[in-house]
Amino acid sequence: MQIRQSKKFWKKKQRLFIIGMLSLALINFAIFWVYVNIQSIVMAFQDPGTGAFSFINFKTLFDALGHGRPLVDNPQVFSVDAIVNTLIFFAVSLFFITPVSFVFSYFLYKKIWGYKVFRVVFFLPSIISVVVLTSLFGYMFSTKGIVTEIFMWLTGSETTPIFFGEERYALTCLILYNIWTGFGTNIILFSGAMSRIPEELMEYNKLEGVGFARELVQFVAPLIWPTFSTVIIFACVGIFNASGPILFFTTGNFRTNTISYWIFAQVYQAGGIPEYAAAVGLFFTAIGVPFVMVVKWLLGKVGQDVEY
Amino acid sequence: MLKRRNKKKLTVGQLIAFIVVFAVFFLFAVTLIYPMLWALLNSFKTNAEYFDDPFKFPEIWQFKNYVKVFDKLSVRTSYGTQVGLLGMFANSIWLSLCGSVLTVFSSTMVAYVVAKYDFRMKNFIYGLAIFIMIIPIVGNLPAQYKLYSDLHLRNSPLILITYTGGFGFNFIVLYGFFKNVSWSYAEAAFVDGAKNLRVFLSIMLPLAMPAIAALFVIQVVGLWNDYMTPLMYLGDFPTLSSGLYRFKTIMESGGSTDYPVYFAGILLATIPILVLFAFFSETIMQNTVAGGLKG
Repeated sequence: MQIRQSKKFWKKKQRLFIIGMLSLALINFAIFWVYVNIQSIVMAFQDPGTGAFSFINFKTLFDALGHGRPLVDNPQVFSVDAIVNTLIFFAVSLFFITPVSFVFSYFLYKKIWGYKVFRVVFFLPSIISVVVLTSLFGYMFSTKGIVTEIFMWLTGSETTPIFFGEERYALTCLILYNIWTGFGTNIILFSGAMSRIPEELMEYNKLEGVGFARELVQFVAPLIWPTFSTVIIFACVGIFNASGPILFFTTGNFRTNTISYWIFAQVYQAGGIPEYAAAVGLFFTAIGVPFVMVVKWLLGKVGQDVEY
Repeated sequence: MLKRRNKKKLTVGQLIAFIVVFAVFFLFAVTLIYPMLWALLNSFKTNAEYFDDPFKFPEIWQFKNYVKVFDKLSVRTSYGTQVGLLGMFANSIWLSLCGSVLTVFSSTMVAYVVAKYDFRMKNFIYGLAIFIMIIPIVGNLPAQYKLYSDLHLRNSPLILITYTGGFGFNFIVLYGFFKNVSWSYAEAAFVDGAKNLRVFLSIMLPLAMPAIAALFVIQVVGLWNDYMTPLMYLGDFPTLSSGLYRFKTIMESGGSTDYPVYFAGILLATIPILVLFAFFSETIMQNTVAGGLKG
């Protein structure tokens, strides 16, 4: 009897401990995630003028999409430009930055000359503030910057280009910035995974005369598949949040707007329509969720975890 | 024998690949380091010298720019006072340190309980943590802004309560860690009469300290460099990231244009994080490892 009571008391204490340990995070989750997202859905269906239930925000969105690419660039107005640019940033991240990071990591793993220094230098953009990086990058591309000097020398141009102030250059320069700063974290993730591959396997490849390319594709990629798929999933999760640091360079002008920057500007800058921004966000979340789920399912089918 | 085999030379093809990749690495590394050196050089110039030729060495090295920066680099708050570089440092410190402590501690509590105790919601909470990480939510910023305004979290250190979310990357790392820690230590302590909290604080936390420290450093770096939160919600508490951005915007839109002083400012703002990185680079790199996302 006493033992049963004692067990009951112990269980009760344990339950209280579990509740205590979880409560802070769960309250935070309920307020700052669940409530915010429900509120976001509610806002999407609110008339910006009256606050009444309405589909006007979605009507405005579909009208904007139906008009195609606007003739005159206006970063305040949501347009097809923002979607196209978002997809360009996403494609660059997925199809260029991720594979190149993988190849870079492989050669760091193969201990190329100076690999320790390179590893640290390549990681620098991940620890230095975006404000500092964009300032430095911006000055390199300014009218007195070295990139401008090289560009004019290479093209023989006599007019100084304004890279972040002209429509024909601005988006390309933002993409270059994303590439310039985009390798760091991926390299660390891939290098970490590669460092756990048993040395004997690589030693065997060496003795068998397996070339770099074959080793990379047929041995390393399958062995670090969980990391690879995680990197791809995170790239997909960020599909509609993918953007360059537009705030620091163009503030959405010169046809460089993206979905996420446009939403940010609607909140941060005066004259924005938060209800319309919430509707745009909801629309793209509705597209993004199944997309990520399908990608995750496909990645699970394509590769399998390898025990080693 | 094996050692001799290990040192087997590269084939010609492999050597060419190494040379090409090394050249690419070298050029890319130069592009990353050059702007820092360029800013360092220009931070010792007068404004006139900078505009005259940004690639030339300074005639007289203006070390005083690094003193001037504390006086000149400032932004105005909504109540009219100026916050200088030291104030921005202070704001960066409290935001990044307190925010990191709260985030990592909250994740530690959740990860420990989910990994080590059996209860009804266990699998749901684990699934929830993964779900939050992989669901691509776009555009809840307007609702978030409204909520922060309603709760009076804007322009207040109370914003720190938003950092108590226990899920995300930290949770996943710590969950994996606690899952692998032997429960026999705890059982021994329970036999000796220790309570759940005591076991957590005195046995499990010290065991998890290396992982917690690594996550803490990563979190500090992230919050130190975060410009979005301070720009959106802490206008009167500019951090180095948001303050430097605001100063640059004012400077380029017709304020006092003293670029060398600005360069001195951005370099000074980078020093603490570079020092932190120098001390903890191995820790950061070893712990920034992602496994598969299960669930």
